Amino acid sequence: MNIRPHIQFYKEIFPFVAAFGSVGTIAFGILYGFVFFLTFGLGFGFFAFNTFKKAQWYAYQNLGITRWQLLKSSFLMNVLLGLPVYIFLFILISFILGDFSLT
Amino acid sequence: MAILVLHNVSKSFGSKEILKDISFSLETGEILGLFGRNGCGKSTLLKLLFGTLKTDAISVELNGQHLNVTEVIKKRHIAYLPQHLFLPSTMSVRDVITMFHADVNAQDAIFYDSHIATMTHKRTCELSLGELKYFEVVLLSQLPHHFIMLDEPFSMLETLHKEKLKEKLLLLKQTKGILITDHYYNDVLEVATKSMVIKEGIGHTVNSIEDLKEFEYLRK
Repeated sequence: MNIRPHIQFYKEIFPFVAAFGSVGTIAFGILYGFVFFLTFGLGFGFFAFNTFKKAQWYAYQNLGITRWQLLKSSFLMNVLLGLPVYIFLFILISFILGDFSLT
Repeated sequence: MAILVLHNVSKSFGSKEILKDISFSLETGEILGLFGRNGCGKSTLLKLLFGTLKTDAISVELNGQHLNVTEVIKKRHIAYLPQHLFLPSTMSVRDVITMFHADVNAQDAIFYDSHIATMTHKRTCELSLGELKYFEVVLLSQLPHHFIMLDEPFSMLETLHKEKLKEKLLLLKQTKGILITDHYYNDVLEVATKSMVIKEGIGHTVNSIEDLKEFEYLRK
């Protein structure tokens, strides 16, 4: 399986996912921010891609990759990337504030 | 050899019936030219066949077997060049080629294209519209699909690129079936082995420019 198109797609949506996830994290804290990043952030990334880069769907579809497959691979990459970042953030903030609660 | 047969396609947007009865067949070794005035449903037809637009009715056969259009993308039966440029603008031409084609022979066929060889170091956003369009067609032509649909491949191309593209299409049809729709009807007629025009949602066979006038695609 050629994973390069999946990585490229994730790179395309990542700025939108990260921006939305950051807002969620600031508003709701680390735990819910992480959940926000994984779900609504990804959803917003898809929405933004569909709005601003709509024609690019055809690049992936010509490679035999459906939107559903892109959603699944992006979710996986979001977890793999988000988990260490949010764990690091949690540890960092906990040390700064001296408070180890998740929310 | 592969043969694609399309029967009785229809599509409405609200109360407006865009396509009423379109049928055609396309074999590898053939180039089908598709004409029609703006808004007559040419691009819609291609999207229906590619499976990215929901159809009211469609029946497609591939080599005599029923083909579900929702499987067209996944099973890589048909490649589609849309009207609008579709390549990621942040990637270099070289990276796009290697992302699209893991196979070295396919990569080489593109890298050694005389027009593309001069632009491999550039980002896609640095290419002119004509260069990009040409690059997209060449990129798709090396995919393994048996059929390829080109929506306005000649638009924005300079004369040299156009001639080169026509040569490429004639070579490509040895292994693929090609469907082209474009308003540059002379270019399309030059390479097409058969043609049809859509008028009021119905497909009509075209044998000459006179037929295009007859069906009011061109002025009489």
